[in-house]
Amino acid sequence: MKNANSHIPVDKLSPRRLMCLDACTRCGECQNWCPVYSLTENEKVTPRAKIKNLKAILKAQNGFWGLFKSEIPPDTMSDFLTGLYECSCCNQCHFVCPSRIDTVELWENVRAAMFISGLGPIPEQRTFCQNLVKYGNPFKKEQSARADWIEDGLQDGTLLQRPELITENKASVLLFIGCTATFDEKVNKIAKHTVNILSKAGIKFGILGTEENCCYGKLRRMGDPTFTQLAQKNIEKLNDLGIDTLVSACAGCFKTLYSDYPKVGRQKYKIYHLSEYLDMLIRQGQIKFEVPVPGQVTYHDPCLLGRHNNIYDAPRHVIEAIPGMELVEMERVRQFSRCCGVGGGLKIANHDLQEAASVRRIKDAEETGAEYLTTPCPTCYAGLLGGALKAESQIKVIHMAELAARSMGINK
Amino acid sequence: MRWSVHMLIFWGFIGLISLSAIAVALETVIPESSETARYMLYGEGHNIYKLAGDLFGLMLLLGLAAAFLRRFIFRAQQLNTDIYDTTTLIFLILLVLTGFILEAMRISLSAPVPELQYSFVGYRLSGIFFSEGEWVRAAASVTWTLHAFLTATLLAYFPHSKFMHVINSPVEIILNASEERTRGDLYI
Repeated sequence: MKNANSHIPVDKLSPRRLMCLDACTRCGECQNWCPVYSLTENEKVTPRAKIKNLKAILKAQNGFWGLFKSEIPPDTMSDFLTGLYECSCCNQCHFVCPSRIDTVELWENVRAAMFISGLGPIPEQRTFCQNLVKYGNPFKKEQSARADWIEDGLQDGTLLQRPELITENKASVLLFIGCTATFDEKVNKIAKHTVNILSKAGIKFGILGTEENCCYGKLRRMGDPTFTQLAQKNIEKLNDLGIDTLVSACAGCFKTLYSDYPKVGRQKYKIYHLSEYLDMLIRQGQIKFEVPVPGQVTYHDPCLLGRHNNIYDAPRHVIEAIPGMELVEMERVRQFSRCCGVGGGLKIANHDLQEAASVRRIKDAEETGAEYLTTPCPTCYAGLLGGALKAESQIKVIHMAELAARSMGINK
Repeated sequence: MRWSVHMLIFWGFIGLISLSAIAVALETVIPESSETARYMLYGEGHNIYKLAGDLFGLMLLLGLAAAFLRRFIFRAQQLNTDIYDTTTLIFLILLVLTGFILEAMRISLSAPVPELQYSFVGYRLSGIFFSEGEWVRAAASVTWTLHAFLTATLLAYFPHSKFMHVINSPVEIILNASEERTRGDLYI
């Protein structure tokens, strides 16, 4: 990273975002709710401190006094960097801000400007971005390894049948698996469950297999401008498939495809998160949950699905449709759901902090007395699994696709 | 508590600005011979105007006093006070106090008529300045100058201070609501 006096290119910040800097009164409502602050009690990670520091930096570099003395106190820059990157971009601050500042849009806009100037992100995140661009996935695996979970699933019997490639069957529905459910061995059962569910429901769908690219959402989250170019390529590729529906089993991919890609180009297909798609199939009678799964379950709203995309009800409908299953809510749910810490690059910036956030969410879940904790996002699922392990919790963390598969009589 | 404080300051300001707008309108747009002008300048309207002025001023002063207590005496946990917060608060307190003192001085220099009691704060304060003659007249000039200077400085300081939230916060709220409505996820 460059030194503290490198300029943040103010022309890369939109007038809309610059305007909101003066809408903040530092009232502290964000501090009350910030999941990272609740763990560290470090003022500099609060949204209000980030805005204050950013204003101080921009004024020193661009304001009237900057003509005479443009040096920024080293503490201001380092506090700002810590705050900006030790943030899971969970969007909680946006929902509690009395001025309704679109904080995550602001952080991502600033992160993009910081990336260009070389002031950010932190070295680990920059290396992550470089690897993501180089390998096409965050796991540094070869593209040919994208089909490994299929072979493994067929061998151990967890995959009922080989999913067809969309390039061959020309189906109208594409199941976009996503990198985490593809490469993470602890998580790739989600891909298998999803394929099994859609197959059993009789949906004619296809996957891209080794042709699937990363959605590159992480680049956007960390401000890497390469995102635009790679997203454009993905949009063109997906449009050329001629599909009318894309189903994503990952909240991160969903957010990228549904909210970020439209800013890059037009997509000629509808995008559903798996939980929405399952809810629709249940209502249409194409999926029937016949096998009871007895017990109480509590639901964790993924930030990228809930606060970022307003999807709160569909996953709850799916849970409620499972016979024998009783949904018990945690104290903080929906718009106020406590972040598990996995998003926004926090896991890369400060793994211990991310783990502590997951442990905190596990405690929330334990307080309900539920036997299961479910979520429809592979990354939240992985984070919560780690949190449960760290907290030595008895709660069973289970992905929503697995619950649905069980109730459909698949993979008992 | 914090919202009560903000509401007192907010409605105090809105009230005083509205009254100032009426005064400007009477001065510039409304003909002096009109029914409205006569009502507002010489009739019951004038008394109501004075009453409202003191009421809104008192609301503002109470709000500012509560904000001061919350920030510097009780030190509410979520507050993180810096020089800009302190400057803003002291600015406003000085502005309101000089406003009330100026009103009290004017009343003490006026002929004693019962209508003065509509300015219920200024009228009570004016007791301090009775029978002081020329000293009060000179002090009133100084206070007026100070009050006008503070007002002008406030306007100059406004764009560089947290006062900007007076404009930017409502604009942000409106823009955000409009974006959410467009996306179909309006959250109120």
